[in-house]
Amino acid sequence: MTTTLETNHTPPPTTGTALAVSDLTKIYGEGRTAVTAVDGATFGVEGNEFVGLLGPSGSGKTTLLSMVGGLLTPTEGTIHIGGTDLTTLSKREQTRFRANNIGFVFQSFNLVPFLTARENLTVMASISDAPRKQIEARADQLLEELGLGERRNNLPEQLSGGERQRVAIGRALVTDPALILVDEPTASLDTELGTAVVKLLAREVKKRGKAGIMVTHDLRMVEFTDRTLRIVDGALSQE
Amino acid sequence: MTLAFAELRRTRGRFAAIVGAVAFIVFLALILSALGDGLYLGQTGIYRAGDTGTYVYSEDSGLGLARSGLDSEAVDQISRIAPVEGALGTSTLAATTPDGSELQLSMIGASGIARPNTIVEGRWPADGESAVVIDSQLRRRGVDLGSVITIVDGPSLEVVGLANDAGYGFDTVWTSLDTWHDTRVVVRPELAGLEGVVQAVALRTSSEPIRTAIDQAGPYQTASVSEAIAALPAAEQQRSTIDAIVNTTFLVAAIVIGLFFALITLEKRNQFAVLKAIGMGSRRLFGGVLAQALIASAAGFAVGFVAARGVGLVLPADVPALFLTESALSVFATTIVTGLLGALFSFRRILKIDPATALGGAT
Ligand SMILES: Nc1ncnc2c1ncn2[C@@H]1O[C@H](COP(=O)(O)OP(=O)(O)OP(=O)(O)O)[C@@H](O)[C@H]1O
Ligand SMILES: [Mg+2]
Repeated sequence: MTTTLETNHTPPPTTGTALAVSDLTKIYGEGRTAVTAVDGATFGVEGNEFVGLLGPSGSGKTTLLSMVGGLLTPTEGTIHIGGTDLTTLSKREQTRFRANNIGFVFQSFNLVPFLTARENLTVMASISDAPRKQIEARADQLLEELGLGERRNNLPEQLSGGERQRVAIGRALVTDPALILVDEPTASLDTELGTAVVKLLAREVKKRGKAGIMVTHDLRMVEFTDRTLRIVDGALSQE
Repeated sequence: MTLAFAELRRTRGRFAAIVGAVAFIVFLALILSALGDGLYLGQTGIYRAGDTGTYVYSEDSGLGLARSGLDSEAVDQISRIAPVEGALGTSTLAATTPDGSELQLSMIGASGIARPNTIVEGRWPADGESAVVIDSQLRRRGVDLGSVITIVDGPSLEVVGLANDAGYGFDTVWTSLDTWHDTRVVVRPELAGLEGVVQAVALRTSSEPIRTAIDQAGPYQTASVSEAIAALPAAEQQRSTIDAIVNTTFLVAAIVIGLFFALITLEKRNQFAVLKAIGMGSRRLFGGVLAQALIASAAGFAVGFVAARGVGLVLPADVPALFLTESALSVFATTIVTGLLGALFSFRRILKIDPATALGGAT
């Protein structure tokens, strides 16, 4: 692992950590119109660590998260999740890797609208390689923990915004992935609900020993994270 | 797959729309096919009902029975080349049924292998007997075994037999050549001297050299069964017209189903992006769309089929609709293939959805 870093104050992560990102760069476009959205990001996240990713609009948060989640091919750099280098996988392998090893909570359009709360979790049984029985047992347990026991058979349209995000958190956790990636989970919620959702998220991630990254605009949410990564114009700094 | 089925169950209204559209198209296709089959088979039974391999007409008849005539000399000459095993004569007559309703009768005089081999009830009339075998379509007019048909200004003929698929245009009856001749002479006395003249003769063989020999031996013209059918003035045109309409209907169906799934895919872009992001492959997603298209097509066929058969039951007797299993099967196969093609419209679209768009919000 190379350690030629200008902006880094901390030692480079090793492949032993849950997530180890090294020298990650994304350049959109070519020539004069090229945009360096993420510029040589190096950081790590331990299991049972919940990290915030903060930065102004257009700073590269979504780009960084997409690469870490195996949704976007980096221009340069490596991403190790539990010992696997994502950047060496084919598209199909990446899809399968996401199904088994990464939990996503998106900002919106999260849930399948015609599946009930419980089915939105158990659908992972047909997506990931985990046995159905195990997924179903975990789904029931998670729905209880997330306070959705009563709402398990409701469709998303019958749930409040906060409940929907809780279902999404349940889906992200139901396959027991090593890494949880969260994209502005509070964007469509009011402050109070947003706070509750983030608190819950932080609790679940830490309790289950996951590595979590949450993109947010909202400084108030930082209080629930263990650590914050800041990104400005594609350049990452840690505090 | 479970996803696709759950969607069908929970958004029934939307799928009811596409099932309805498919059902309507299937209904049209089945009714049109039934009319086409009815028309076609109703007019061509005369040639298909016997065991004939080759028909011989007089030259310049254009293979039309009404314009053809072969006297006994001609028949003798032909039989020196190949055995003549049957003969045909036809005429169109007005008649009345026992209950007084009018019939436009196609009377066919036939002998030997030109007679229908599809008699399902009763018997063939004896030579000169005032009796006929009816095409079973005539039962829809209330004529049946034992009924008496009266030729206007002519004799009464008893129905002694029933043959399937033996029609020749109008309401068709078959009888011996003698009775055919006697009957038409009553109506058209000018034909009196023409006993023994038939319109065509039937050979069992379909050998090309024999046909050539007959064509060259005198003023004759030979035709295979399918050539004889093709020469019927309306049959082939009607068939190809109706086939063209049915095919166009299915083209429309393919476009409708295709647009429907293309639209649904477009609408579900975000949902598909999320599913891809959380690890569902494009092939699985497309498999779901395919399964939905197949189910919608099959359900549409079922509804359309029941509707068409229902209408078939209440169709007036003189509409020559014939619901054939083969036609239904071909409509079914076309419906399913159409559904598949429709779903294929969205294949590329699904492949192109970028899972990364699930991140970054509602942009
Ligand atoms: N597909 C793309 N093609 C070209 N440029 C892009 C693309 N996606 C993002 N960018 C650019 O890369 C930079 C970083 O974008 P990114 O979406 O990662 O920012 P962000 O921090 O998520 O912003 P926001 O807070 O508004 O969501 C921006 O300058 C953006 O214009
Ligand atoms: Mg963003």
